[in-house]
Amino acid sequence: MNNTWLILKREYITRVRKKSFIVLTLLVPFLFIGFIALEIYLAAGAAPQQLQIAVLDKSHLFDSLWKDDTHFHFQVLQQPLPNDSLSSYPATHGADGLLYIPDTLNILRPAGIRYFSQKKLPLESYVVLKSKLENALEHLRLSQLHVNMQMIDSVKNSIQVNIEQPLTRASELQAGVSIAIAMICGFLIYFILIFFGVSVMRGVMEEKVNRIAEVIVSSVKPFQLMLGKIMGIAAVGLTQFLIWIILILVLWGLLHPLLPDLHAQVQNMQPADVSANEQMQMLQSVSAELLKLPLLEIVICFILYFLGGYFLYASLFAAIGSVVDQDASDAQQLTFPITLPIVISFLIALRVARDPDSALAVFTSLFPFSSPLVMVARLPYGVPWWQLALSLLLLAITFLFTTWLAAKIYRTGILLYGKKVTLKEIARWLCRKK
Amino acid sequence: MAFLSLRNLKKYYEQHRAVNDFSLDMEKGCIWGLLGPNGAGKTTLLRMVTGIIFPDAGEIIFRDQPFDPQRDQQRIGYMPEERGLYKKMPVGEQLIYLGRLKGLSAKEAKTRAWEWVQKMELTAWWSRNVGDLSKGMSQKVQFIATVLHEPELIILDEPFSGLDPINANLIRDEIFSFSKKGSLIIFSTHRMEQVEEICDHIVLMNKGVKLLEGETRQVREQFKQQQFIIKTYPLLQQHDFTDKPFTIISSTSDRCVIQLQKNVSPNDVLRKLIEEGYQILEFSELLPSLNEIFIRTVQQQTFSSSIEAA
Repeated sequence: MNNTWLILKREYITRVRKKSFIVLTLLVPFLFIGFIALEIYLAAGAAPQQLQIAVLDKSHLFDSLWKDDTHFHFQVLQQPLPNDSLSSYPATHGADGLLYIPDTLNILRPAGIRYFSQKKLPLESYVVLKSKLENALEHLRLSQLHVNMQMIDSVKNSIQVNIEQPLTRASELQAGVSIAIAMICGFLIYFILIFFGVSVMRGVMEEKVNRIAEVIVSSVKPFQLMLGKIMGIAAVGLTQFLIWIILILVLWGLLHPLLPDLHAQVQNMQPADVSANEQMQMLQSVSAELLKLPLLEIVICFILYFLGGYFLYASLFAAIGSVVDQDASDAQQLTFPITLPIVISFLIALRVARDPDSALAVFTSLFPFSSPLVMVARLPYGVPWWQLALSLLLLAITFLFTTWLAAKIYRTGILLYGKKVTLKEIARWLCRKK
Repeated sequence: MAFLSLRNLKKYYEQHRAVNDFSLDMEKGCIWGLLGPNGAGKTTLLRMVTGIIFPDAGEIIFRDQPFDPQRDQQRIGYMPEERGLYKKMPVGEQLIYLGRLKGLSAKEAKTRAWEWVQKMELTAWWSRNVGDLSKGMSQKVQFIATVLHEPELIILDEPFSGLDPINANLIRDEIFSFSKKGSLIIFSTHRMEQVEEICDHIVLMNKGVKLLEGETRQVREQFKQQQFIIKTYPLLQQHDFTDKPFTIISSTSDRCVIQLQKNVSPNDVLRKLIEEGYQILEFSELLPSLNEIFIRTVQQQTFSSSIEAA
C-alpha cells in the first residue's frame, strides 16, 4: 500500500507540475467566465446611453408620458417652433433629437409623428419609444370606449394555466432546468471518462516504451503500479475540477459588480419593458428551481459515478496501454471497443435527460458500463433509492472485476516488447491461473 | 545451503520453452556470468529471479527461504537490459523515488543518492532531467538506482554497454566492492572478455537449458585441449617432426601453437625438443578463451539436438 502511495504521489506531482496542466487549469475558468460575462453584457443591452430628446407634442395627448427613464431624458417644449427650424433644433440646442407629434393626430389612425435628428435612434430605443406611444394610444382608445382600465388589467393578469402532473413533475420550467442539469452531468462524465481514460493509457504506454516499467515492477507488484497510476490521475482530475470551481466562483465574485446592475435596471423599467422584466423573472425562477432540486444528492452521486465509471474504464485503458508498442494506430484499434460503449451511453444519456423513466433509461442506468453516464442524467428527476443502490452495487462489482482483469493483461503486457499482441493471446493470458 | 538456489525452474511460453528445468546454486560474494546466445532464455531466467514473473514449475530458494517477491524484492537490485528511466524527471528526484520504492526512507534515499551522484561525478546533473543526459551518464544513473538500497543480490543485464572505458572501470570497481561486501552479483552479457575479467563463476545456457557451470578458471581448465605456446630457436617447422608427439596448429614469426597427441605430456615434448637441439625460450599452456568454449558448446548442443531430431 505504501508503494502504491509513492507511485500515486509521483504521478500526481509530475502531472500537476506540467506546464500544460497549469495553463489548462487557469485558462478554462477565465474562458468560462469571460464567455458568460460577454453573454450577459450583450443580453443586458450594453447599458444604453440616455438620450436627450426634445418633445414638441402639439396634440397634447401624451402629456403624462414624458417621464425620464434609463433610455430617455425628455425635455417638453412649451413654445411652438416654426416648421422650418424643426430639423435644425437638436443641433442648435444640444439635444440628441426632437420628437414631433402633430396637433391633428388621429388616435385611430396615428400618422405624422416624426423624429428629427442627425443620427437614427438606436434600435432598442426606437422599440422602447414606439411601444410607449402605442401603449398610450391603446389606453386612450380604451378610455374613449369607457372601458375601466383596472378591469382590463385584472383580466390580463389572472390568466395563467398550470397543468398539474403526477410526481411533482411541476412546471415546464422545472423540466427545462432538469434537462439542462442532466445534460451537463452526462457530458461531464463523458468528458472525464474519455479524457482521463486516454491519459491513463498514454501514461502506461510511456512507461512501457521507456522501459521504466520493468525497473519499477522489480520493486513493486504490477498491480500496485497500475493502481497508483490510475489513482494518481484521478487525483489530478479532481484537483483540476476543484480549482476550476473555486476560480469560477472567485472570478464571478470579482466580476459581478462590474456587470450591468440587473436589479437596478429592473426597478427602473417601465411597463413597456415587459420582455426584459420577464427575462429577469425567468432568471430568478430558474435559480429557485435549481435550489428545489436534490442538489446534495446529485453532487454526491455524481462523485460516486465519476469514480466508479473512471475506475471501470481507466483500468481497461491501462490494459490496452500495456499491450501496444508505440504504434498509435494499434492503440486506436484496441481502444475502439472501449470508447464505443462510452459514446453509446452518452447518446442514451442525452435521450434519458428528456425521458427519464423509460424502460431503456432504467435498464441502462443499472447496466454498469452505461450507468455512470445514464444515471447522472436521471438524477435531477429523482431516482428510486433501490435503483440507485442496485446500480452502484453493480458498478462497484464490475469495476473490481475489470480492474482484476486489466491487471492480468497489464502484468504480461508491460514486459512484452516489439511484438504485436492478438486478442487471442490476451484471452489466453486471462485464462492463465497465475 | 546456498545463498540463492534455483531448482528445476521452468517457464514455458506459447510454443517454446524459454527456461527448461534449470538448476543452479550461487553463494554470497561471488560474481556469476550468465552467458548464452540471443534467445537462450537469460532474460526470462533473470526476471524469475527478480520476481517480475513467476516460474511455471520449480522453486527459488533465497536466504534459506522460498523466494517471496513481496518480501525479498527489497534485497534485490535489478538493472534490465533495456534501460528504463523517466525522461522528464530530474536525476536526483528519480533516484530518491526509485530508492523509496525499495523501502528506503525519504531522508536515507536522499543522502545515499547524493553520495552516489558525487562518486559517479554527476553532481552537476542532480536537478537536470534524465532526458538531457548522454547515454553513458544515464547508464550511470541507472546503475546508481540499481544499487542505492545496497542489495544483497545484484542482477545486471549488459551493464557496460554504451560506456566508455573510464566509466566502465568506475562501474566495474563498484561491482568488485559490492562483491567484497558479500553481495551476490549475477550478470548477463555477450562480451566474453568482460566475463573473463570480472566473473569468478560462469554458467552457460542455450535454448532454456544449462550447458555448463563452474568457476571460470576450472571451466577453462576443463576445456583445455593440450595446446601450448612455444618459442624456440630456431623456429619449429612442421616437416621436421612428421612422426613427432605434436602438430603445429599455427605459427607467427617467432612463436608456434602446438597440439599435443594423446597420452603425451608436456615434459615429453620438452625432452624431445631439447634432445633435438632446440633452445626453448618460452613454453606455456594455452587455455581456451571463454569465447571458444561458448561457441564450441553451443554448436555442439545444436549439432546433437539436430541429430536427435533426425
